[in-house]
Amino acid sequence: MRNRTDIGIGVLLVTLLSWAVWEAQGWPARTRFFPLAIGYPVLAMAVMHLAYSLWLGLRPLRFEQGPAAPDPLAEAGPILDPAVVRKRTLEISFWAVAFAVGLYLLGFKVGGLVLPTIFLHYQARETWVTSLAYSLGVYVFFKIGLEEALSFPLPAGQIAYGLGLYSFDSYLMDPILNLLR
Amino acid sequence: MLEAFITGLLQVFDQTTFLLMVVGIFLGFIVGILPGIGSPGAVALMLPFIFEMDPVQAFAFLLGMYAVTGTTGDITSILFGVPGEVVSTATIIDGHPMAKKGEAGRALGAALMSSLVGAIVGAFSLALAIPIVTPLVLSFKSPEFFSLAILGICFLAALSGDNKLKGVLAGGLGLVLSTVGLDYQENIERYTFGLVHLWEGVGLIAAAVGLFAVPEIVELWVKGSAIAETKVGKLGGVWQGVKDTFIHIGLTVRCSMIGTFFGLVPGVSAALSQWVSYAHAVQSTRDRSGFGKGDVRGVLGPGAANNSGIGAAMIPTVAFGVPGSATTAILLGAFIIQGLQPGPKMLTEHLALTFSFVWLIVISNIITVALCLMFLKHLAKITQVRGSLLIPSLFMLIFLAGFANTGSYFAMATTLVFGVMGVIMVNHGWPRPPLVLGLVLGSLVERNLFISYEIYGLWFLTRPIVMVTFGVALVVIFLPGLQDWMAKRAKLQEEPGA
Repeated sequence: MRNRTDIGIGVLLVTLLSWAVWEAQGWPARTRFFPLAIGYPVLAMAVMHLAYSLWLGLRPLRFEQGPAAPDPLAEAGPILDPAVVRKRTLEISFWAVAFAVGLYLLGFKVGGLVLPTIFLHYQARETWVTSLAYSLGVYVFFKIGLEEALSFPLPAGQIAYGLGLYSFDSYLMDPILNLLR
Repeated sequence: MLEAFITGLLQVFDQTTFLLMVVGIFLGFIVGILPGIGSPGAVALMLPFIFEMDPVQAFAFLLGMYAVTGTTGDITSILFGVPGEVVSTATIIDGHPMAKKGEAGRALGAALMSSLVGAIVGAFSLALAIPIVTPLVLSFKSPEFFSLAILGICFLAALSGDNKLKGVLAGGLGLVLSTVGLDYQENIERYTFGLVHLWEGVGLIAAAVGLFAVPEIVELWVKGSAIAETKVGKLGGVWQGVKDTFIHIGLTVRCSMIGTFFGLVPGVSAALSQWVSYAHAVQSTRDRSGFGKGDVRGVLGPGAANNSGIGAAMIPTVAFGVPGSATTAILLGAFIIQGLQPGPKMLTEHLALTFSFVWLIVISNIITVALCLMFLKHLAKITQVRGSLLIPSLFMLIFLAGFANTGSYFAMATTLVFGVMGVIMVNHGWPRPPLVLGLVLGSLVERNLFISYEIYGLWFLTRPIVMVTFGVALVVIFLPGLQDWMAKRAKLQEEPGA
């Protein structure tokens, strides 16, 4: 299985690097100098890797090499059913995309209020109180910690811009903060 | 000179200067602990506030902030596996597994104390090194810088165990990815697919955070537990970590020296010194089996190198106006704002100010380490929090990291793409560090290779330092394999009938 994936990755790399080298041919000499200087050797290494993966795949089973040495930053966790691992990986991948899209649409402040609440309550099965308290903390961090204290510019999100609003929360929060000042 | 050295110290203890340094430390602490909001961004954000300050106050504020970001960046690397700074990524390799084993306190204690030792070594290097290293740095030309960068990638590839081909290939891929964007010479788009957002290249912070943090989040969710797989107990021994620094003081000082050397070579990334120090920690140890699984020496090396580079990076900045790092490049702006001209005058007329930099770096780090040690219990407890509670904050931070670095939502897409790559690489035994280093060093390698080729043709490869550096790179890559082969051969010869 690992070997098949390695072959797949090898084919993908050889294809992408071949395209990169081919694409660079049409550029002026100075522009293509480095992409070609680095592209050809890396392409050669990718071909070597693919050939090695294919060779490993074709070897008789008794000579099968053990699993590749792990990434030093990666590690084996507790043994879980592969189906569970797949399901959870898909779940969290969905949430990664959902957070990115949500932040794009709602901005960091309102997104920080809404997205963690939904994730914590509906996915992580936390109580409403925990979810809301947590999200409020995230909002305070963005609003007070970053925007007010560090003057860090946080965009309001595409929905607010589309509606012609300065931001969703500033109409409520700015008067309160002005009073406190 | 001694008078200027003492005057520099006294200037730091001026009431307003000291207060501004503490404010800088506080801000640097926050910035350092937030993944992706690096010291260059923080220093740049604070530049508008120094107009009304005198030079010592301004640099107390900025250097106080700069000096602590690396230290606090190690905290998130250890606790979450999310580098607070690009220069803190190497700390993850052993620091985060230690946190998972319930030794978060020990890892943090080791990282903090080695950072302090590194900072002191680096800061006093600033005071001592200028007359000694200036000829060395000046003797380095483009071919030498090019060969140093390649050596850095080879060091990382050598850490990829049996997968050296994958390691070198990953480093090469990083270099290829670094070519994305506008060519700085001809302003021609390379691999941008017509996207304006790619003109500036692949966002480094977004890519690094995607590669390193997203797989951690996935793992956290898949496991369904807290970061620490076991109870921390009484913090897993902060003082043990502090003691470890002194037990392995030789390693700590050597790695501080590595950080100092890389820090003073302009344009060479501080991240490189951390990785080289990690490689040194591994290669100078006989029993390497614990590395990558939570060996404290894997924390001490990068921790020491991280901070020692800060003082060293100031050497070329102050002496020649050549910034040694991204942050010192921004600090050059502070010199201009303050009406100071980096160069010989900083070593004559403003010598006391230059020495105050040394004291600022040392004192800031002492205060930071003391504060961190005081509040470490609370920091380490974060590893006991359920993973599901950490995930939303981590998502917010990783996307904020990319956005903060570029000010563009496109960085969030970059984080996602590199996140997918990170997960695939982890699952299929591809090392991620060489890829990131290739990406970091890409523009430096390209510029230096081009200049070398233009000036010397292929003869640049015959320059002595280049030949030595490439020789070391080849040894680093091939020697362990050769040793294994020879050991196997010797074993086969010993076995009768083999």
